[in-house]
Amino acid sequence: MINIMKRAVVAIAVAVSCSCHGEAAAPRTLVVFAAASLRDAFTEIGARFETAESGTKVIFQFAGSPALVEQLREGASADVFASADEANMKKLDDAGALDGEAETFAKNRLAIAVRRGNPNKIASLADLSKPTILCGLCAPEVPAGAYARNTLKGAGVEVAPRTLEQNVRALVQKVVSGDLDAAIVYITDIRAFPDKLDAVDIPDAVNAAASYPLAIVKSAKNRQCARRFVDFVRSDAGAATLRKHGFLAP
Amino acid sequence: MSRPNSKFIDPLAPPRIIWIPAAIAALFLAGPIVSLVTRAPWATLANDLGSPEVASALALSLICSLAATALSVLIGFPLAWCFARAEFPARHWIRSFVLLPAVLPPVVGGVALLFIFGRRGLLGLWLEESFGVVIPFTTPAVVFAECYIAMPFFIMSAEAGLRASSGELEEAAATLGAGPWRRFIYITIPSCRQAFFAGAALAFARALGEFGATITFAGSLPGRTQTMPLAILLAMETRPDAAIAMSMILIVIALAIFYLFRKSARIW
Repeated sequence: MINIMKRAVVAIAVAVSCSCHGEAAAPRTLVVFAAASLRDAFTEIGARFETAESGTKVIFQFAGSPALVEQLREGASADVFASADEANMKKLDDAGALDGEAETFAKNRLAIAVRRGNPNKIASLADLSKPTILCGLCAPEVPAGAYARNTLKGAGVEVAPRTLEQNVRALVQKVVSGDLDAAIVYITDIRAFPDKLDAVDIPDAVNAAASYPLAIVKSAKNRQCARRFVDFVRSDAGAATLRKHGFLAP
Repeated sequence: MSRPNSKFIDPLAPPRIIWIPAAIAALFLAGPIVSLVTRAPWATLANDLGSPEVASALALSLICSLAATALSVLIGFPLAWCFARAEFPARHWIRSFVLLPAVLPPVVGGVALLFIFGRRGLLGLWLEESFGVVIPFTTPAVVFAECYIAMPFFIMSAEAGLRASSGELEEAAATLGAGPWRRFIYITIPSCRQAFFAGAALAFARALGEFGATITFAGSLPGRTQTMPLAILLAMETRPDAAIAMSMILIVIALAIFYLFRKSARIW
């Protein structure tokens, strides 16, 4: 309890000092907006980056890519943005909010997330159209939702999703909790829950491969640090971490 | 009162059949909280609550809710005072508009805030061009969002309190030579203190629970704009145990507010 109080006091002190100095405190802090599917990989990369760059603190906001784009267009201050598709990165580029070109740093593929042991015996996309299977997708604006729709279209399968989630992590969690039987998510999201989930493969012919671009935001408070973070993500160490979490090379 | 005989039926007591829907309603309302508490990961609770993310979300939530409550009182009370005691043109219309956020879906409030304080908003554009100030997606934006949703609750309560006190004491004080400020501090405020504190407690509770306007207008950046409700939703996606642990904190705070609320009704 005392520990919590101490931490709360520290947090209050940090919050107060941030609001007092504003800009002055910023060079020590790198703000990264990243697609929800990058959560585990980027959290680890962020920790490694903090070790490599002592004195730098990386703060992440993980959410659906369109939500992050909307925040950035409305003036949210961030240094780096990593999207789960090119469409959302382009929206930001068109708004003139990028500093330089976006660079693709990873790829991902879709799979069907089912509970461990596949109790509903789901073998293919076609099984998702069975009325007894509670299936979920991401909203079409969210990259994972757009990719899933393309994949279903390619396979000629129509499903009646029970939910359209705002980000892929919220979707996969509903399979983990048992509220959904299946969901089309990234293979990386399924690997994040090895004890809870199994992946049902989607064949290459219809699998819409996701590609992840990242870029420095024009309003970046700390451009050099942002540059080093982007380079770090694309370095061998960054690539190894991404691979460990199931991402593919760009 | 003693009952005249055993067959006496309390004329006010509801018929027996009413107990069934009443019990369903009670279970529906109390059940979720009870089952949440039973699901609480007691063994790892201290660990879940001790993480820096939870501490910073809690600190941010408390600071912003207190700031929003203070702001609501500071500028909301004068407005409540005007509504209760002054006559001015279009009072009815202004009052309806001002109290609207109390019944508006909060996400609509967040969108509306973006349209005035956002970079493309009426005031936001001017603030950024003239002073280089950007409000959305900052810690002050959290306070704005919470205040926007919470202040109407304080105003309604304070206004009701001011209306309930007749104003005779103020008139008496005025005849004895007390100026308007003196009357305000020594008579007006004490006479409606119960409504004042109840309104402030309600505003605080509302600010603490604010979600829709905050995520729309302030985003969800850990340590800066990610308050407890936002952190709880996010934790549901990764560590449900932590989400339950954080919910427990808010339940405890809500109970404390409730207790103070009931006490205030008796004491103040």
